[in-house]
Amino acid sequence: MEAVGVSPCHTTLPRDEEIVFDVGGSSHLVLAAGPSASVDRLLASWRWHGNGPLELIGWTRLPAPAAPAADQLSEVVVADESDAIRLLARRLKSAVVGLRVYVSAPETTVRRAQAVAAAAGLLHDEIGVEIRGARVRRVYCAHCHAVTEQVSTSAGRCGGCERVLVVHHHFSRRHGAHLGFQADAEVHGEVPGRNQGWA
Amino acid sequence: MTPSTIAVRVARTEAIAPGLRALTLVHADGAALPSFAPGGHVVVHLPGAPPRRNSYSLASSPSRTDSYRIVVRLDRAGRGGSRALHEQVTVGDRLAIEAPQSLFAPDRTAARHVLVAGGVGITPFISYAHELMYAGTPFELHWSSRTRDSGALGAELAELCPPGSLRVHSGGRDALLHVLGDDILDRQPLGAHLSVCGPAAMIDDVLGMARRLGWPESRLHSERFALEAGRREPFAVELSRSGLVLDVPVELTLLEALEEAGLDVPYLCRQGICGECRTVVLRGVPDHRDDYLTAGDRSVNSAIMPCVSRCAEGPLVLDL
Amino acid sequence: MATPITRPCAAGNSPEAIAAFPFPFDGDSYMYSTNVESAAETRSNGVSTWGGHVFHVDEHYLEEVGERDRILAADPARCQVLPHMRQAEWDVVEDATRRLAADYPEHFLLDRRGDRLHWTNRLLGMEQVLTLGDEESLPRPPFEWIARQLQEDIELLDQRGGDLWLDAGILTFGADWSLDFDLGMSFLQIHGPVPRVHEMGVIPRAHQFLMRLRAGQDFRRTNWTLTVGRRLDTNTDTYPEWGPDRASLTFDQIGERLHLRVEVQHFVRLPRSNAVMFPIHTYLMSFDELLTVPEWGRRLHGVLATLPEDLVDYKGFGRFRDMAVAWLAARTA
Repeated sequence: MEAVGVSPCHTTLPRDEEIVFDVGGSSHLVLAAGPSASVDRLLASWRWHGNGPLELIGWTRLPAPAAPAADQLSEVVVADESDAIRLLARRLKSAVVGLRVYVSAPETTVRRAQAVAAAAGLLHDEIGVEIRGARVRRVYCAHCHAVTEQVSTSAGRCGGCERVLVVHHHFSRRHGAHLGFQADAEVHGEVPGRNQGWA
Repeated sequence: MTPSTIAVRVARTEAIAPGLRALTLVHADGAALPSFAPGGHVVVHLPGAPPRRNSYSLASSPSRTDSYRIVVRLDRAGRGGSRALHEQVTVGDRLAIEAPQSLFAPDRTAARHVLVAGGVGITPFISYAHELMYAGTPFELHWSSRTRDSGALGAELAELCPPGSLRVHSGGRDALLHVLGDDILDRQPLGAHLSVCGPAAMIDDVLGMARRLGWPESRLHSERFALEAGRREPFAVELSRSGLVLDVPVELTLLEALEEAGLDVPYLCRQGICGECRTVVLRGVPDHRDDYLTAGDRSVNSAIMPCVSRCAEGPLVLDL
Repeated sequence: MATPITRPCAAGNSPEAIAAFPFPFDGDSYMYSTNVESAAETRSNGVSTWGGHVFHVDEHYLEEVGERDRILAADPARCQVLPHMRQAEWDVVEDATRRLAADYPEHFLLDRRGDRLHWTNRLLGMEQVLTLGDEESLPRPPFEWIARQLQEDIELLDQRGGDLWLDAGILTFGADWSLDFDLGMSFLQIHGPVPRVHEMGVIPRAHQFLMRLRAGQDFRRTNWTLTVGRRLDTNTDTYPEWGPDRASLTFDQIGERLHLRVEVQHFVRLPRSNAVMFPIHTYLMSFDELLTVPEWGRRLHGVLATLPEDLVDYKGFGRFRDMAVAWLAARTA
């Protein structure tokens, strides 16, 4: 999403385009909603560097080519993304410093994973994410504080208070959502600017 | 802006080990001293000429506002500041200090701290131990020190820290790294942070070990104790704006020479860490001895940290 | 849906308050800058002086404390402290009680023995004995307890990992932002959506300045915008309540309804927690009140007439900028 009036190199909107293997980590945990080119690349990097065990949590079957040492790679297939998030939380409870987490999933799952990771004390250089699929936003309503999932247009209806919210170029990592405020607060019915989806 | 000073009186001195002297300072007028964050230090204005200002960690509890304690290591090859504090200053003497600052405060979101000290690098961790005990944050403190040196401070820390959280390692570098690598740094729960204080080489070793075990930069913190770094030669420096040419003798830092000449150069740590005294270099090659400038900054030689750095190739011309 | 708070502060400014208003314009145009100066100095606004108080108790004290009470009752999320900010919270209690008692001895009394404080707030008829560090000794959480006795919004920044984090604060009188949304953000993240300030270097310099802030050396700067109605609560949270005012303003109402809104912000390093405390006192002056000082009218006219479009947009008065300029032009010939 474009930050109006702020150039790309200065924006603080999150980078969530791709996951890159961190050779500095000593153990790795991957959450993947199915196969993807970047997950494949990540696994290939890990195999090449052979740097600590890797656990792969997926919610569709993930073809994982043979690891150099079979006991270094473990795979868990869960029923759905909620199970994956719960398993992530469990793993983080017993994790040690050196762990790196990678999440390749649709936006809603990524934001939930980030919130769980932050609550477990994971820092920004210990987690990488890749948002897959349609670009939708989680939107925090400034008025009723509800978070609405899957907003795919530049203005959307709040699931909490029904107001039409304009989605602002301001992101909170704590809420895992963009800021939304009433689109027609000043003049009823006057929804500003574009109401199209974004690429 | 030159900070104002607080007049203090030396209330007590204590020889805690060969070459280590503790000074307890109280407010000269009996007032409360400012509180400070763990890892805090004070800049002490040493009496006599030429004017010298040395920075010392506060080795006392941050909640104590009736007195401060500093630990001074005698540096025979130095410029005389520590010698003055060891051999000349005595109980009842007055000194001027600046209000404390902390450039090495612990990360308050840490669930747990691993603290590693080398030699007199233990001093900032004394204030850490007090504060972490008060806040109830778990920690372990590893102190690499020859047994005969750890004496009084070791006993004090052992009494302060929870059982098992203090370990004194007297087997030198290799023994310390072995323990840290095999037993400590490979099993810290998420949320732990590592802080190291001591000589530069020791810090590099410990942080290097941690990185190899997967620790990310965001969990690594250190404060270097400036040892005597390299030979000192006198040199001349020209100030381009005033045309003034100054001689910087062996016993003064460039910053001190500038201050003696009446310039008001901003500063904070006086150890080459914080960046506050950064000065533009117009000509000449500085002898960089700081921990602030990046490798890129140094290679173009367009800036210098006058609190610790000197001149490698003159004439040195500064934009002052 | 929360009950809207529709009662704005009714009374205007006395002549004394107008004379001491922190008028923010030195000339007749405006651009962002890292405009910090020492907090100890008083400033002349051409009529009188202002400044020198990190916490300023003025003639609107009771009104604003009451307004804050009402806002917090309706929306407690306006005041939040993340768990690791306990020490910073107590540092604010210690700092604010000390300053208030020193600056306004006619209103506040502080008797301190060690960590035990005997506090009197005559304006609110409050007497409290408390122990620093002991939450049980106060009827409310410490930060909230002291913030309810102040007119300032206060934000607390935790300094760690080479950055500053908004990890505690109270915001009942904000200029179109939300504490609940911004809580937990870094300094750079908070200012992400502000136009121009990054390219201009204003934000990086401000960031560096705050990182190096020393205890005992307080600084101050001002911020400004326009508000329709004498209304302090213009948080994004209540935008549905104050938003319509922007569209309903008419030319003949400007003198009475349109206000210059100025924030006097301070930057204070809290020594024990090492946090940066950022109190913000918001002042409102109607255009009619402002015109009692002709030079102010001239300067404001110049500033509004020349303010670039993106700043007008960002400050939220695109709907009536031209109207305001015309109104001032007619009266500052």
